Amino acid sequence: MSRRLEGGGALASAVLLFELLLGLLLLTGCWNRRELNELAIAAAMGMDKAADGYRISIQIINPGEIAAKKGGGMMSPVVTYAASGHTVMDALRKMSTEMPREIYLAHLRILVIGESLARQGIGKVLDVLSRYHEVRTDFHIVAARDRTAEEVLSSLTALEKIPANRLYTSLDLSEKIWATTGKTNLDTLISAIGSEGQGAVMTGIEIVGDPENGRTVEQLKRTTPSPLLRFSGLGVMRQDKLEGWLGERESKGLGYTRGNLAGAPISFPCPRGGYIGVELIRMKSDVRGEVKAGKPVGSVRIRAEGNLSEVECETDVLKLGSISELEKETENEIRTSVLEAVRRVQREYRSDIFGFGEALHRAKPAAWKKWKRDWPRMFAGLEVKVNVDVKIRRIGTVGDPVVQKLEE
Amino acid sequence: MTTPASAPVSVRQFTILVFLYTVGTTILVIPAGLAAVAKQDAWIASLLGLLFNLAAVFFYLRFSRSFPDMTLAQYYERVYGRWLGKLFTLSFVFFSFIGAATVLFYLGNFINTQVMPKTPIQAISILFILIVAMGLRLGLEAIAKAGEILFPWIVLLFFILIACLLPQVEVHKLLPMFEADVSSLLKGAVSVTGTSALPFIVFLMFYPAFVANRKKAGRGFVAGTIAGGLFIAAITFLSVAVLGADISERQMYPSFSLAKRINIGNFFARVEILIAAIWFITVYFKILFYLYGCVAGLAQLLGIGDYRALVLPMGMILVVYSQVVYPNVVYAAEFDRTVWIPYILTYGLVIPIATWAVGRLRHRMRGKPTATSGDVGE
Amino acid sequence: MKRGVLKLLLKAGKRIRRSSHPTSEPSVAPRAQETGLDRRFEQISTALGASSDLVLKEIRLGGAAGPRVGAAYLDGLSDTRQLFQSLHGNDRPLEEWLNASPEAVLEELRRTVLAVGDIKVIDGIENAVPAVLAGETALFADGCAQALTLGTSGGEKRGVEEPNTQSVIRGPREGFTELLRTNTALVRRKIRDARLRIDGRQIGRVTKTDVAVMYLKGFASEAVVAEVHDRLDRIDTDAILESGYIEEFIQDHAFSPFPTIYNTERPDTVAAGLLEGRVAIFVNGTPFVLLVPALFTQYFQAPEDYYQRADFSSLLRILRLTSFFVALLAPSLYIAVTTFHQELLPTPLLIGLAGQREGVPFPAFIEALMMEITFEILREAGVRMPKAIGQSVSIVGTLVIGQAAVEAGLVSPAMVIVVSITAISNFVVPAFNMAISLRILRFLFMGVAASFGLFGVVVGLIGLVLHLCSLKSFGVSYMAPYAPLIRADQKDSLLRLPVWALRTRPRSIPNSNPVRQAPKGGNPS
Repeated sequence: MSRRLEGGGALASAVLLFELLLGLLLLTGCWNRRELNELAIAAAMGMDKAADGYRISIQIINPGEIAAKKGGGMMSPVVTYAASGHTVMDALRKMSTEMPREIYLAHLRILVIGESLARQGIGKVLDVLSRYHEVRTDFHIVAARDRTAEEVLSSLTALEKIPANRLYTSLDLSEKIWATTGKTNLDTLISAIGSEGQGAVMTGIEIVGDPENGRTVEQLKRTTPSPLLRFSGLGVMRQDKLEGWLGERESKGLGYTRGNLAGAPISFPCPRGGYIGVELIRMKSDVRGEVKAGKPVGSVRIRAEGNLSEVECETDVLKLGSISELEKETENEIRTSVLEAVRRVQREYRSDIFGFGEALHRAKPAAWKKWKRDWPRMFAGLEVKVNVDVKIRRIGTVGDPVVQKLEE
Repeated sequence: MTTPASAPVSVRQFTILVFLYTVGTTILVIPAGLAAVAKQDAWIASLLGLLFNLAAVFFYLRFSRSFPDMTLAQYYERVYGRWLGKLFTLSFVFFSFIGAATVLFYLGNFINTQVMPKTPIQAISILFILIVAMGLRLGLEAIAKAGEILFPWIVLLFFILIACLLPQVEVHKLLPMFEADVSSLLKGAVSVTGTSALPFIVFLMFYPAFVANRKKAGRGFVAGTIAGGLFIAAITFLSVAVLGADISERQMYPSFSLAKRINIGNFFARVEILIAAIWFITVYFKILFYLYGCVAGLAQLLGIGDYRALVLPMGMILVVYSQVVYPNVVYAAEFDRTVWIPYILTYGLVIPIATWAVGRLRHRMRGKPTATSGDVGE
Repeated sequence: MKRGVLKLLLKAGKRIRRSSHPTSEPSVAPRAQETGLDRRFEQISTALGASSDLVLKEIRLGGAAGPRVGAAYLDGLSDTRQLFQSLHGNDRPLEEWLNASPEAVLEELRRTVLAVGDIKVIDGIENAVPAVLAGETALFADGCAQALTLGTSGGEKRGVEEPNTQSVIRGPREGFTELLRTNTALVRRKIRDARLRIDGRQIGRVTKTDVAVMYLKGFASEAVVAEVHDRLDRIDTDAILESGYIEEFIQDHAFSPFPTIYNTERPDTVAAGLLEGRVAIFVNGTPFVLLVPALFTQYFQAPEDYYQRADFSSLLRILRLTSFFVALLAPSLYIAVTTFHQELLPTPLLIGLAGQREGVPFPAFIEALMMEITFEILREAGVRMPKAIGQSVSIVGTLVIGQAAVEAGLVSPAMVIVVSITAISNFVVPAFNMAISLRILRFLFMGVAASFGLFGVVVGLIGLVLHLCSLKSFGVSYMAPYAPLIRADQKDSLLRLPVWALRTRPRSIPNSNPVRQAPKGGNPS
């Protein structure tokens, strides 16, 4: 049993460690240590084209104002800064001349890209973001429709103290229950840009009302704040360039092919006026690429489940036949909106945002290799089949519609 | 005393050390390289790499049977005679030293790139080397036990990683399967073996001699290699299936980006630094054993009985050398792609095979192995 | 020349020695005078420097004319009432006493008269002095060369009370006292087995403290027992005032914040330890008994674990380990995350924390250091203060730290929460000496966290694990049964299985009797 053998060594190393620590503590001031109150936490970032490069705007959170339990409301909870530069980093650094704190990008919730920059191509700015270690990939990327990103950022909106966070959560929410928007983050955008067989989309954001009004805190105090920021439609990208916008119905159609549409309401007119609404609660879709007779064929198979949500006409809901009829109607509605979206994209934008190319790649790698180079052209003439299967399970908490009783 | 084994390292501990050593550096670096050559089939390449690893380990087991009570350096001297043997040992010392330096560079580079860009890499290296030196000075027994304590934590973190990422696996990112041709799969597999299995050569500085129950330890060697290989394969699989082949390829450290993806209901998110702990711990053992090979070989070379005195000086030289071993990251990547494989093949395979062959030849010529040379264990 | 000087010096030395002789020689000289009672009293009085607590009492047996006997004892150390009752109450006729020789008187006293246990016959005054110092009474008969020492040790002592350091909700309430004999008896009462061995010895040249080594023969490993004796033999010091002295002398690693010798105030813990093959070291004068070998995991086990239900105890042990990590790492993790890895925080939390920190003038590390040190000061003050004042100090402390500092903007509320959680978690660790090591290490971890963030913390943890793995307690791996992993011992380490499942003794502690009980067959379930 060897005792006290290591004793001396341990003491020596303990002393060494202690001295080292002491030295380090004195040295580390200029290293990576940043106190929380030295950070300018950026919640949103906007990118626009400028005459000589980029104009970057950043919405900084004022934590003191947000966290204050009492006595808040004197200052705006967020501050927006903007600067231009040849490169993104250049602009960011310039901004720090008017800011006492260091811009911290890890908590970025949303990146708004001005339409003109988006149309010009965003590949270069995305490189900066993916290279910079502080930036994560979990924020949403949206395009400012007809506006500059700076204008969007400076339009405060109510409900949440941090507008960017509000945009983030409402994007999450609207994707779930409205479905004309799509979450796009850095990774999906970058991999779509790099891929021949899968195009990207970006959700558009627009300002309703006068952007000037949004700059003041007073807006927060009104019940109907103006202006409002609103998500509207999807922007279709070809490689890294924004090509154009999809309408509401087409956006839905794209959403159906991606299967991320649970909860989206579908409505269609009754034979004698009024509407019937169906709420989809579950959806699975499958995009495939096949080769038929030496030609690529795309197909979408969608299976959905839904509930009856509103009935404005006098159908006998409780009859077996009427449900299957409803199912047919819903299937039709979905099929047409998908087909419309496909047609429009094929005709106008020629960017395979549905991913038929990738599907073909997965299914028939050899054929894909042959067509890869020429895919945008092939896609424009691609034959697309849509197969929809809808099941309506429940009809809500009542049976026959209220209207039926009225008629009697 | 009633302790079951007098050897400093038990079979279980040895298995764990093999596992940790296999995983160190490999998990952070390899997925990107594999995705670059084999795209979505990267995980197949890593499984193939596991087979290669096993082949290498079987050879090491075979090889080490020739010197059950000796270290590799001692065996070099026995096979090649005193002076030639010392030359081989010297080259081995250099090899382990450079190995340690490259791993240390990787560690500092990773932290500088991903976590703390403004902290000087020297400070990071010094802190790490201090703790490595502490381990080496405490000796193999403490190191082996520490591995045993840390291992469950690594496994736990690993399962957290897997469990949190499984919902994000997208099978279509793996398709089409078997698109990569055989040569690129092989290329990937060799790179796996080059970073994970061939460095086992430094284990031969203590493997048969200081490990209890040689027969079972051999099985432990294999088991540890398989576990480590599967671990690497799992991480590679997740990289491809969650991030996609193109992003895995673009990332400098895909497994770290992978961990960044963890998000369970917006509250268990942003935990990548915890996952990085896996890497810090496994890299710790990797550097530690490289440096062990270096100082133990050097002690043998200089005829010093105890390597402990050499640990701190060599550690300090190592810190300095790790700053200059690669001038920049691009060079490091280039070195890994072009030079490392032939380099490690030379030290990890060619020289041992040659030694093994020469040893067997001499054994057959002289009859008894004990009669070969008397000037060994001084 | 040189040699001459040397000779002179030697001669001088001889002269001095010779001159010292005459003074000591007369004391050995006439034998008759030597054995006289007065002379005895004088001798013993001189030996103790005429201490005022020395009581010399003379009694005549069988009445005023009887033979003289004398008792010498230290007041307060000895309980002599029985002794004098039996001396005065003897009803032997005077003639019998007068006819007996002094030796016969002494023999008669020893055999029949004295109602005192543990009587020894000794020769000479030099053996009487240590006995008197130990609280015994020396009994001299006038003219007799021999004397008796009577085991009358007693006097004021604390009773058996509930231990302060390891209190339980369910379980025995008795704790050790300052008296070695009481303590060994408390354990013997729990283990009525002939194999329970107590080896006594004295350590300390001046204090001559009684130390007893207790173990179960056939249970404890012979090697460990021998090692304990060997290490105790090597202690050569003036004084042993508490078992802490012994602990520092015999522990394996002098420079480690972790205790490698367990101490307890509870007889049931010692009994359980002995039954697991451990060796206990009792030291007179302290209620803290040492138990070796000690394992890391032992410090997270409370005696109560075995008295409460198994599932509950297992969960408690997990809770304790968790609090160990919280107490060790909470401030350093807070520092690392808020100053290096802000990206790890969820956005709302980050904003909340940043809002709290607005206006706090110090870096998080200094803030944490200040708060931790303040807390340590308060705690130390609370321990040393009289109990009544301690209460008010803690109130002031909570007010000062908890509210005034926050409201003054010196610290952020989050930091107060972190420090309080750390402090509370620290108290969950059942063993005080382990809790101390946590308090030390916490500051180290705060240091590495402040300079290297979580990387520093991980490196620190690797170092900590290495250090723990290098520790040994009497040749036993400190981290056993985790490293080396002993599967059979997992039944009672982090988890505690039901008592009937604890069939074998822990293998982590070397023992020579592995099986504890019959398999569960006989148990109703």
